Amino acid sequence: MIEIIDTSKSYEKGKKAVDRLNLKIGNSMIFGFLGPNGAGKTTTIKMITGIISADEGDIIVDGYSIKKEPLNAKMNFGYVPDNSDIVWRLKGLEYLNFIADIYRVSKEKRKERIEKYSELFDLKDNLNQYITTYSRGMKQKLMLIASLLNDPQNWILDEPIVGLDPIIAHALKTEMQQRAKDGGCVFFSTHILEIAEQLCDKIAIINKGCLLFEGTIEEVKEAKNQENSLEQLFLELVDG
Amino acid sequence: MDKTIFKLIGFNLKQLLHVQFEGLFSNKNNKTKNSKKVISRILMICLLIYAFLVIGGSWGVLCNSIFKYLSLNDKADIQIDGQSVRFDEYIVLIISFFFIMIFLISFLFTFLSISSYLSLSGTEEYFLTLPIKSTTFFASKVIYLTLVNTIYSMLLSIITLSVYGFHFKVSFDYYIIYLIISVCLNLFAVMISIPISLLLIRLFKFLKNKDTMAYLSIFIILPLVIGYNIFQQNIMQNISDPSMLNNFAVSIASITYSLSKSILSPIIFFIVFLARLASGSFGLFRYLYLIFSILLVTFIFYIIVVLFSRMYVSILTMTNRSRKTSFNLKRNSNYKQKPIYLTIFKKENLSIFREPSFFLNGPFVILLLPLIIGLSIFVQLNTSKGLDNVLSSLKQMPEIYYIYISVLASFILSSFASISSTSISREGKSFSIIKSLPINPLQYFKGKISHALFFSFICILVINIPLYFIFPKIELLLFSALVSLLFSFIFHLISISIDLLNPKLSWENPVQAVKQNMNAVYSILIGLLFSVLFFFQMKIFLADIPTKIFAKFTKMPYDSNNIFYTLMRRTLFLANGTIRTDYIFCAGLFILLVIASLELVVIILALKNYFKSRFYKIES
Repeated sequence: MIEIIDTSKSYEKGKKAVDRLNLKIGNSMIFGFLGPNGAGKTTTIKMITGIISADEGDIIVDGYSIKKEPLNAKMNFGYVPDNSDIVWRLKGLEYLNFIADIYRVSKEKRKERIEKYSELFDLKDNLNQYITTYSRGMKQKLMLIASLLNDPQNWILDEPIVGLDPIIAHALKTEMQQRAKDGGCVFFSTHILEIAEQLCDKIAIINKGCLLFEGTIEEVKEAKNQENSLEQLFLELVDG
Repeated sequence: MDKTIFKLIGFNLKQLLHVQFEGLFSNKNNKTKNSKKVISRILMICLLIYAFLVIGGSWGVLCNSIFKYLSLNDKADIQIDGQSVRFDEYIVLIISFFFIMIFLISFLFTFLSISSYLSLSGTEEYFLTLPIKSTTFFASKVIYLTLVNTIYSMLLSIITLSVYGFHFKVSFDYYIIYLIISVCLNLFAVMISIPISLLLIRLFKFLKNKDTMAYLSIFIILPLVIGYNIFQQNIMQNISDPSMLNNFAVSIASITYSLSKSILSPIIFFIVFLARLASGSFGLFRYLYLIFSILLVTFIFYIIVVLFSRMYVSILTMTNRSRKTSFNLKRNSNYKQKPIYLTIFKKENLSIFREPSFFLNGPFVILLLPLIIGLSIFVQLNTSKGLDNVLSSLKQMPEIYYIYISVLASFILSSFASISSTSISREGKSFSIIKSLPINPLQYFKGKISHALFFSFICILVINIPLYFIFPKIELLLFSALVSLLFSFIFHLISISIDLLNPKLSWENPVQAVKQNMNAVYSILIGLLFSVLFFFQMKIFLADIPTKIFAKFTKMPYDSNNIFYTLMRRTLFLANGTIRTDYIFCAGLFILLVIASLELVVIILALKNYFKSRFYKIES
């Protein structure tokens, strides 16, 4: 479970990237975080994961505050960044072992999970290669495997579908659904509204750092009293 | 060639300056953050000024003694290699000699940055997709490299000519001419260096690996680096003795004279021409000759760009072919669980050895510097037949000097290798991954410091093994290694805290994280300051205080059965030498060890909270 409480962040004076955001993402659900470019989606995710600190408010992951107990909070999620920039000259497997060491994953479990997910995301033949030689999609797959090594209760993904081929995208969606079904919390940001419509139990739409809407797809349609597609509703909300 | 060149140079410089001085000029809105920022900015500016003073100071002293001596000379003809040379020609030869030294520095700096200009960054990949001519692309790179690699030699040439101008009372316009001469000289050096490096790289094309090609080319140029160092040591040795100044001036003029007749004559010819222009030999026609030298450099630049641009782009776009190795994902040995600090240590180690820019500016320095210095001293002493004398006098040196040498050398070497001072910057954009992981900051820094200490340990071995052949005492080797490690620990803590204050995380080319990182410079300067501090500390604790204390108790007879003496001897394994020396030395070593440990504890306690809070505050 992830709770975002009154969280704000600004990079420039007088311009808030995220403005008093409140969200509660419960277990057993896929939560889609939607918004146009520069809406504050990545900033929010970076605050949840502790990459940047919030100016105001707090974020709680499974009862642990990311500000006060960052290590406990981080132990409870797996994170897939939007930009898989790994500058270290490591091989794929070396990177996965590094992540597994950080999460203190036992030898047996890491072996089992690396084999399982590298098979699922079709990367097992490339794990002996340097990450610097990977394509964008391969890096994305590596980050997906790494994020699942600790079998997280909360799975946070920033634009996860971008760069993946249809087969892997399908595998990812199935994995997301399976995790939610098993009681996990899946929180992801996306631009692709069809995916949100198809996958999400709940969505939140954000623009210019402010939350415009939070609820199920049905609720958003009810709120607008329309039978339109999510795309049209999204455009209406964002354009104001 | 078109305006795009300047746009590309501007882009590269902007990127370099932005990542270099981000912390100095960034404008934060938060007021509380601002006051801390102001202090750190002032500190950094002070360090920057100090860096330039240290770099320019010793060279300025050298130039000043030579030109001051020459300006007071009776200006009679000089005999060089059996030929009578007019005094003004003699001056030209002296200035030429300084120019040759500066030329060599620029040449070597550019050559050693080979791996940086041959690595293809994301932005460069994008530039290559644009309709930009290879000549334009290469030209912008040559100018950019000149600006980046010749800051140091440009400073030296300006100092040389200003000191000359001051002593020989030249008119004001000469100082403007000197500025242009400095640019021409250094651009000329870069233009010679780049084609040679490209040709060498091309020679190893069959290896199909750019990294290996760069390593091999650098190894080929090593004799030149060693030769340069021997040459420089000779100069410094001569300059320290004022009675030798005349002979020295004549000998450097003689070297230039001989070089002008060697195979290098076309290069030397241009350098002598610039020296003639600087010396005022051309009188009223100086502007004409200045324009001629600008045109000549421009022409050479044009020729090199036209001839080598395609070769440069083809090497730049070359991809490394990796060896095919057998790999089985199911093998259990692929999955070993390690403690967090050890896994960070491993990651650091793999990254530093696999990334040429990191290796060349880190571990390579630790092995290269002692090799260059050792070989230089050996060659110098061997040629002067003084090696045996020096070795025998070294063997008679008091034991305390052995520890001085060992500690200071390993300490200075560690600081020059910039392993700890760039440890956060080397993470680059991946630092955000680190921040998203459940890593205790103290565990993270433990891994970083262990890695830096591992290299300090190599430093200590590299220095102590040769020293062991001079002082074959294993107890001294162990003790000096322990003291060196303790002091290195303190140094690495401080170096990491400097890098942590303003890490350079947004880089595209790995060389920006190490070689073009001001934190490495600050760390070297602090390392030098600490060396002086530790030298005095060692002197106080190993010699001054123990001697004074011992003097008070000289009436007390030495008792070999005394438990205190026995314990100290057994603890430190120091059983040789006279009773009194042993006692003083043992007591001093013991105190030094305790003091160093205490200093370490104090510094750890002082920095612990800083490491923790700063880790979370860094936002890449």
